[in-house]
Amino acid sequence: MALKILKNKKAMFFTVLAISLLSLFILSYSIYSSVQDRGPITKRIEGMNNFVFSLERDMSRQMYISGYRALLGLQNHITSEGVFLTDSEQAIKEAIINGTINGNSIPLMEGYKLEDLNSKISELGDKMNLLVEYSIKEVTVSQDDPWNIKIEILVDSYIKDKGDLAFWNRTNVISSKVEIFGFEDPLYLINTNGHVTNKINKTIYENFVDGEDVSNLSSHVENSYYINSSSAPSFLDRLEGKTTANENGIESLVYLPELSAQEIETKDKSCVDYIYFSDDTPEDNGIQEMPSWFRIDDAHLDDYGVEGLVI
Amino acid sequence: MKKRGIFFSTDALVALMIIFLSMLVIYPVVKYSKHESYIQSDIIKVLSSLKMEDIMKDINNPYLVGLNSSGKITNLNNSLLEQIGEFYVTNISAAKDLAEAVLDDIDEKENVGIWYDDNLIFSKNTSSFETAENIEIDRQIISGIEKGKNTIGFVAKAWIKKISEKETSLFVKGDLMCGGWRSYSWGEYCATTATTAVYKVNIPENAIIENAWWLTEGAWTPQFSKLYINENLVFEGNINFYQIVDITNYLNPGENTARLEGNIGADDGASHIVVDYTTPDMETFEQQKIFYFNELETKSILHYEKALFIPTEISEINISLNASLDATLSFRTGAQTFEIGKKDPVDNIVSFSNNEIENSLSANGILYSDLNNEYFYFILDIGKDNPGQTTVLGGDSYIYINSSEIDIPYGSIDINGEIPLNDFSNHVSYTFYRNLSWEFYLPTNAIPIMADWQFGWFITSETSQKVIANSFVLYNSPPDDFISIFARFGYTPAKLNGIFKEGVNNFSLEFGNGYSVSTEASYGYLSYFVKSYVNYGEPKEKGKGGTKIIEFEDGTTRQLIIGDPNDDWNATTDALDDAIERLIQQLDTNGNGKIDLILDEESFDVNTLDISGVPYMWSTEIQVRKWH
Repeated sequence: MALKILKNKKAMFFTVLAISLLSLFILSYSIYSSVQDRGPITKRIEGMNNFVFSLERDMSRQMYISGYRALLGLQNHITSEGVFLTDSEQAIKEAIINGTINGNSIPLMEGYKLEDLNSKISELGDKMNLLVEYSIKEVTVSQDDPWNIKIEILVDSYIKDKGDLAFWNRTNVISSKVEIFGFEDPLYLINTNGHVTNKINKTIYENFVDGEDVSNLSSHVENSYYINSSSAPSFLDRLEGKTTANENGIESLVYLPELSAQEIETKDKSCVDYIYFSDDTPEDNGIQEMPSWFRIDDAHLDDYGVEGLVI
Repeated sequence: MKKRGIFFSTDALVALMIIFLSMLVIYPVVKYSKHESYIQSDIIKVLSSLKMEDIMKDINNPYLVGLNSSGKITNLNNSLLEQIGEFYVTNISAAKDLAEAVLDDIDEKENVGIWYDDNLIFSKNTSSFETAENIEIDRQIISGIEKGKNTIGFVAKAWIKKISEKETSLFVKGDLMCGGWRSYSWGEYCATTATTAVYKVNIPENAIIENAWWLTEGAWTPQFSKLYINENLVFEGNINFYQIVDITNYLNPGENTARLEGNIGADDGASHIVVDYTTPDMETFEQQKIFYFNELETKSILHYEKALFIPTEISEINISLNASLDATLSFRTGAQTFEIGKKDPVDNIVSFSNNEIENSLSANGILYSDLNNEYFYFILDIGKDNPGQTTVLGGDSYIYINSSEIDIPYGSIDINGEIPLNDFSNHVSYTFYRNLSWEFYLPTNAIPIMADWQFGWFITSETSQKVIANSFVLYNSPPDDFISIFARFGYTPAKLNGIFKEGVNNFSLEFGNGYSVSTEASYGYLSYFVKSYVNYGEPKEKGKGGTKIIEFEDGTTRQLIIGDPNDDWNATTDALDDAIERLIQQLDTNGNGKIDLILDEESFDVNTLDISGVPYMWSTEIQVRKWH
C-alpha cells in the first residue's frame, strides 16, 4: 500500500514539474512581451532626443541671426550718436540679450533677442509635446580670427516630455560666427563725421606689386580693401575707436581722394587707416608710380611689397 | 508501462520547450526585420550633416555640378537640409530636384518622404501616405527660412552729404525801451520822452537775403518815428499800433544796423526784424551766450527791459554796461520784480558780477535752475539820480550767460522759421484778438530745440490770460500772476514731456475781455533739428534702387537716380527705395510730401549703402516620414 502511494506520488511529481516548467515559460513570455511593449516608448524617446539635438543645432543658426542683427543695430547706433562704443563686446552682448544699447531699444532686434529665441524654442517644444526651458548663463563675444565675430552662449536646458516619459537636463555651449564682411568700418565713419563710409571687404590681391607694376596696389587702395594685420586693430577694436595692435587686426589704405571729394581736409601721412586716423606720425614714404598723396610708413613697406619702390 | 507516463510527460514538455524557444528566437527576428528600420532618422541626420561643399567635392552628379556652376548655390557652407530649404523658399522645383538628386539612389523598401512644413519635397514609396496605417516621423527645425518669405534681406541707409541752399530765418527781437518810467492807473509804464534805439542785425556772410521786414511797435500809439536801415531812411511818420516796413533791399550779409527814432518812446517790446535768407551751411544754429543790449539814448531816465529765454540750465551770469550815468539793475520773472543793485559808472562801465546777481536772486527765492524754460527780464534804469539829462546805453553793453550746451545731434540740419498763425477769434480792435492759435509740424525723427513767440500786445484792463500747448496748460492767470506786458512766451522740450510731438503741434492764447494780441504784429519762431541721414531700416527683399521724382517746397522737381534706374520704385520691397523715402520724409518739414530744404540738381547728393544677407528668424519644420 505504501509502495503504491509512492508510485502515485511519482506521477504527481512529474505533473507538478510539467506545470512548473509551463509556468516558467508563460512567465518568460510575459516578461518578453512586456519588454516588447517598451518599443514605442523607446521610439518616442529617440524621437524626442533627435528633436532636442535639432533644437540645439538650430540655436547656433539663431545665434548667427541674432548676432548679425546686433552688429547692424550697433552700427546704426554709432552713426546716430557719432561716437564709438565704450565696450564693443559688452554692447554686442547687451544687444543680443536685451535688444538694447545703453538701455535704449534697437529696432532691428525686435523679435531677435535671446529672450525672443527662448519663447520661440518653447513654441517649437509645444509642437512635440515637450516642456522646454532654456536659461542663458553666459554670453561671450570674441574674435579668434580677423574676419569673424565669435558669439558663444552657455545654456542650461531642461526639456521634459509632458507625459513624464523622460527629461533632459543639459548644459551646452552654443557657438556661432558672424562674418564682418559688408559691415562699415567705424574708424572711417566717425573720423569723417559720417561723410565717408567703407565696407569691410577682404582684398582680392595676393601680391600688390610685381616689379615696378603697382596696378594691384592702386586698385587695392582705390577700393580700400582690407588685409589681416597683427599690428592693426581688430573689428571689435574699431567699434571702440581703438587704433592699437591686435593679433586679429585688419587694415585698409585710406583712399584720400574720397575724403577730398567730401571736402574733408586730408593729412600728409601714412595712408594705413589706423595710423591715418590716429595721432601717430611715423616716418612715411612716397612710392614710385603711386599718386603723390599716397604715403606709407616704414613698418608697412614690406607688407605691401614696396620697399624697393620708395621715392 | 510504468515508464510510459513519464515518457509522454517528458515528451510533451520537450515539445513545449521547443515551441517556446522557437517563438523566443524566431519572432523577434521576424519582428525586427519587419519594423526596426530607422531610415527617417538616418536621412535627416545625413541631410543636416552634409555640407554643400562636401557634396560638391565628393559627388559627381551632373545636376549638382550644374547647380554649383550656375551660381544657384550661394553658400557652400549650407547643409543639404538648409540648401533644400533655401530652394524651397525661392524655387520649390529646385528644392525637389536637389532632394531627388541626392536621395533617389537610396535602396529602401520602406515608404519614405521629406516634408518642409506641409509641402512634400521628395518621396520614395510603394503605397500612398494617405493610406498609411503606421507612420514614424523625425523632425528638424531650420531657422531663417519660411515659405513665402525671404531667406536673406537687404538694408540700406542714405544721407545728404551737402546742400547748396537751406532756407532759414534770422529773428531779431526788440525789447521794451523808452525814456522814463512812471505809474498809471493800469500799472507802471514808459513816460513820453524822445528815444532812439539802434538794433544790430548780423547776417551770415554767405547768406543770400530773400526777404526781410521790420515790424515796429512803438512804446506809444501813435508814435512819430523815423526808421533807418544802415543809415537809409526807410520810414517816417506816425506809427499807429505798429508799422511793417520791407527792408530787403537795405540789408547786406554781415553787420547791419536798424535805428528807430521815436518822438515819445522807442519800442514796447513787440518790435522785431525778420530776415529770410538762404545759406549753403547745413548747420546754422549757434547757442548764444552773449546777449547785447541795443544802443539806446533818451532825454530822461533810460528804461530798458531785456527779455531772455535760455533753453538749458544756467551756471553763470555777468552783466557789463557802457552807461553814462548811474545804473539800477532789476530782475523780473512772472510778476515778481526786485532790484539787484545800483551803481555809478567807472570810466563809463558798470558791472554786475555773477555773485551779486546770483545772491540777489537767491535772496528773493530764485535759483538759476528755475530760470531755464521761462522768459525772464533784466531791467535797467539809467540816470535815476540825474533826471532830465540825456542818458546813453552803449551798444557794447551785454549780458553773458553761461549755460549747458545744447546737445546738437550728430549729422543734423537745423531748421528755423516762422510758426504760422492758424486761427483767431474774438476781435477787439484793428488786428488784435483775444483768442489766437498757431500750428506747426514736426517731421519724423525731428529733435525740437525751442518754440518762441513775440506778441504785439494791447491792454485795456487786467483780465484772465491762458497759454495752451498741445493740450498742456502752461500759464493760467488767475491763479497765476497777471502779466501786463505779455510780449513773450517760449518753451523747450524740457518744459513738459509731450509738449512737442511728431506731426501737428498747437499753441494757443486765450484772453479775457481787456487783453488782446495782434495777428499781424506777433511772430512765432521754431527751431529744430532734422537728421541728415537715415540708418539701416527693416530688411527688404532687394536693394536695387530706381528712379524717383522729388518735389521741393518751391514747386520745382528733380529726377533722382539711385542704383538701377530701370528697377521699379517700390519702398515696400526695395531697401534703397525705402531709405530714400525715409530720408525725404525726415526733410519734409510740413508733411506735404515736399522737401523744404532748397536743393538743386548739383547740391542734392545722396549716398546709399546696402548690406545683403540680413537674416530673418522665421523657421520651417522639416519632417522625414516613414510609413507602411
